[in-house]
Amino acid sequence: MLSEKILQFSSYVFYKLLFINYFILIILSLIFSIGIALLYSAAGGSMDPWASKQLIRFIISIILYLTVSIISIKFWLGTSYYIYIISLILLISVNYFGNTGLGAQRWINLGFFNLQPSELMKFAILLSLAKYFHAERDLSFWNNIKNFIIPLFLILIPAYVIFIQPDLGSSLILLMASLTILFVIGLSIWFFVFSCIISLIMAPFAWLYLLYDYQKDRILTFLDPLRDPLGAGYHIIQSKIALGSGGLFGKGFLNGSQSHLNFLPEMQTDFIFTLLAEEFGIFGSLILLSLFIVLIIYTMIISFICKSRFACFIVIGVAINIFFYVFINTAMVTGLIPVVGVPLPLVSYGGTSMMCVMFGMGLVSNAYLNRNIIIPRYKDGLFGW
Amino acid sequence: MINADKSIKVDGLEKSIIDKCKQRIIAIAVIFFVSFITVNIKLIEVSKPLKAKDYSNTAITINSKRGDILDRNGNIVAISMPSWSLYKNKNQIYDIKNTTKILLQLIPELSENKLKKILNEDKNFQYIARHLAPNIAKKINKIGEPALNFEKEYLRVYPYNDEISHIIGYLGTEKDGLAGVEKKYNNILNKGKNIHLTIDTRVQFRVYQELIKGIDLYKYKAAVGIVLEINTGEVIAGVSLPSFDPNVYASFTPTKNQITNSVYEMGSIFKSFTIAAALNDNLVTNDSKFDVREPLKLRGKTITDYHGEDRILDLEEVFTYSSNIGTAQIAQKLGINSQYSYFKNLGFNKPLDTGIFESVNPVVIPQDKVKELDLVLMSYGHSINISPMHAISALSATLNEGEYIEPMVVKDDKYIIRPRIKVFSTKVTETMKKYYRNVVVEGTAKKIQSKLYKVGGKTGTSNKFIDGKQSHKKVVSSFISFFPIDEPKYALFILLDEPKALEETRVWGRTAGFNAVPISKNIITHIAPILGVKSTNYNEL
Repeated sequence: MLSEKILQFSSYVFYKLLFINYFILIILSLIFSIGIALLYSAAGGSMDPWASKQLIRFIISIILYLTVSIISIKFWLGTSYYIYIISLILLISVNYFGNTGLGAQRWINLGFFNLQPSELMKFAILLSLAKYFHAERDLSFWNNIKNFIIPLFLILIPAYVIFIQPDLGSSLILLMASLTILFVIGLSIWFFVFSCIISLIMAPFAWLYLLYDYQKDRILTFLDPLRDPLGAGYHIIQSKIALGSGGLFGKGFLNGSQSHLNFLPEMQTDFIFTLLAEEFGIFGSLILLSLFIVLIIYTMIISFICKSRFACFIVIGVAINIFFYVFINTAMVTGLIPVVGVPLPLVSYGGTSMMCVMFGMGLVSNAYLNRNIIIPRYKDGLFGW
Repeated sequence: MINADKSIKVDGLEKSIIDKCKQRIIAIAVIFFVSFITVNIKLIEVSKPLKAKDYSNTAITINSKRGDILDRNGNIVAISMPSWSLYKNKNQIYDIKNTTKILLQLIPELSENKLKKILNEDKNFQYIARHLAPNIAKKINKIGEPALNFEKEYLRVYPYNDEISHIIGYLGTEKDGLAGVEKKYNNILNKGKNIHLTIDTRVQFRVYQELIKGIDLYKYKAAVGIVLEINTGEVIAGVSLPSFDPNVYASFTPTKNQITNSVYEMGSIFKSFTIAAALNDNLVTNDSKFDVREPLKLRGKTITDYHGEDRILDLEEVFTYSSNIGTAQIAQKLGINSQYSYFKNLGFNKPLDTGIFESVNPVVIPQDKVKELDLVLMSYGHSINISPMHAISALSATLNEGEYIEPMVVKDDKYIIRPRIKVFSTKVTETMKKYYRNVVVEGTAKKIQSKLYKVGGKTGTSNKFIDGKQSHKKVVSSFISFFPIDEPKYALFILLDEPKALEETRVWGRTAGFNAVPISKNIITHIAPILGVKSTNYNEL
């Protein structure tokens, strides 16, 4: 009896693994291999201290990807709110128990990597929004703006918690990405017009009463890089030198001088794109950007073929989140926007963003496997579904 | 269970919702596409200026005479030299064969094929060679070809190569300074005015040389050395390694200025502030006793001593043996408000205006977010990050009649007239003088003892934070020393980033007493005579 069950279970897993979306996995691995090459180079041609750790994390996250893919989509629907609540608790607790990093508290130490709950939150919000709008039967539901109050709070509460950490950049990105998801789900365009007007009116008050001095500094520095040579000014100047010195095809692998000279601090994390541009030139940067574009477009195509809206919302939400990661990071490095702490997913050194992206892509793969399934809108089963 | 490909007909509602969703997906796809294009355009635009190096790979040129930068004794550390650049205009060359021959003779680095190509073309303006010496230019002029013309250009030359580069800075492709004093005083220099530094190139050279020598021994990744005249706030020397040679444009990569623009957890040298502050507020006296036998437990963190004495210490011994537990007890008496008001008076609340363009804001936890654990950690230099320049100027205030003077590298009236802040009483500074001396006599800095000069100081070693965790192998070691300690006139601050232990010293060798202290001794032995500090032997004779 037991052996029969094991047999049944393993045939289920095997069957699912057979139909899983390996194209996504290949693109992810290509992006990751560029990342690992850069980390190897950033350490001066050595697997230690970054590349080896990152490799282990990637292997763990592939297992995560596969697991997330083959678990029933109803499980994710059923646990959405729980994931949200757990993420919110983690996010709040980081304010009290987290490791202090340069004046702000953002991490929880999990041993093999530091969990940054604000990253996890992006995907938790996405799941809970998709679930919220999955249950509604009536098309007129979408036309009444009152029905968007709860989802807005689902977004605003974590955004506020991140804001008081204080981490203005992450808070704004979370807000933007989640509002874009709400837009796709169907929130009226007028809402966005009104919020723009209100933000413009509120901006002077926020400047006077809400922002820390260093946040004001960064914004001012972005407007005038000569104002402050350290903050954004320093990074923008240095990364411009690096980006420029790569030229069309770069200085060659392991030949980026800056990685050995320590002039861009922590370059293995958020500013790793400059190393790519320095060693592989514009050509190399465009290849990496193209891989991300292929990934995002492909994800969007999957959202088009999903028959249930839960799956559709999830997939497009992941695409939006990944777009914001990539766009904000590259725009920051090239000096289009002020310096905010956003990693380049799978390329930058760090566990949280990789795990979160692989978790998100696992959900995409899951939706792809279940693209033809219509998920019922009534309660049934263990987790309320 | 197996239902991955089981297809069910979609009901109308689901379809209409998803259809609406699809329209919006297309809308954001367009926005995404435009955003990516913008990034790509910006990326290509950002890499453009470097095309300029194709015709200027030897040096930075400017077209009008820029002011010189001089050290405190009038030695030139940056100068604009006139030079002549040879170019061909639209006219034809009459005798190509002869001209080619003479040009190749006079300018051996030209390639024959390239030269012939240029001479045969009829472009309006094409460089043949740049920055020629006057005698060469004169000879070329004698050829008499009307197509050969000269342009006067200025060449920025830095005679001290990579010794002072972080303070002076460098020029960009055009005539504008991109870093350091060159940038801060860009407008004044461009008007042709000279700038006088407080730096003494002789002292600068000694500090630079000893820090370079130290790399072989202690294999550190980076290092900082600063010499400060404590009664005036003038910086006599400032070295940051790794350095770069600003002379050779486009082939140097500027390294970070760690003197004023990097922050570090400074470790035990902060005990000076805590103890001086507590003495100044009359919270402790010379005779106060501190029981350091039991580690201190605070919010799950245990504070222990590295140089464990395991007995009851008096105040001087807490400082001499660098007791964390003792300092923590003093900090608890001091309290957060008092600690922060001292930090503010010592300049930890703002970037320093020294005349160097790059200047970092110290990373200090906002006062309303400070917890008791932070108060204790900060009392011995953790959880607070300041630049080496912040450190040396603030430490000097514990001796210099208790006055805090914002340091400067440029002799500029606006810096000299800045008000001094009285932070500590003279009674406190007299006590501190004794304490600093005792660290050298009995404490962690015995290796600096010398028959020639009486020095006092304090060591500091802190574990670096790597990936949010304290590393036990990678440390930042630092040493502040004052000489002559009886009448302190100069401060020397040495900071080493990730020094390795010498084999014979085992793990202790990473601490400041084994690396920063011996390096400081070598430096002081060399620079004291230059600075006119009399040796103790001299006094006895």
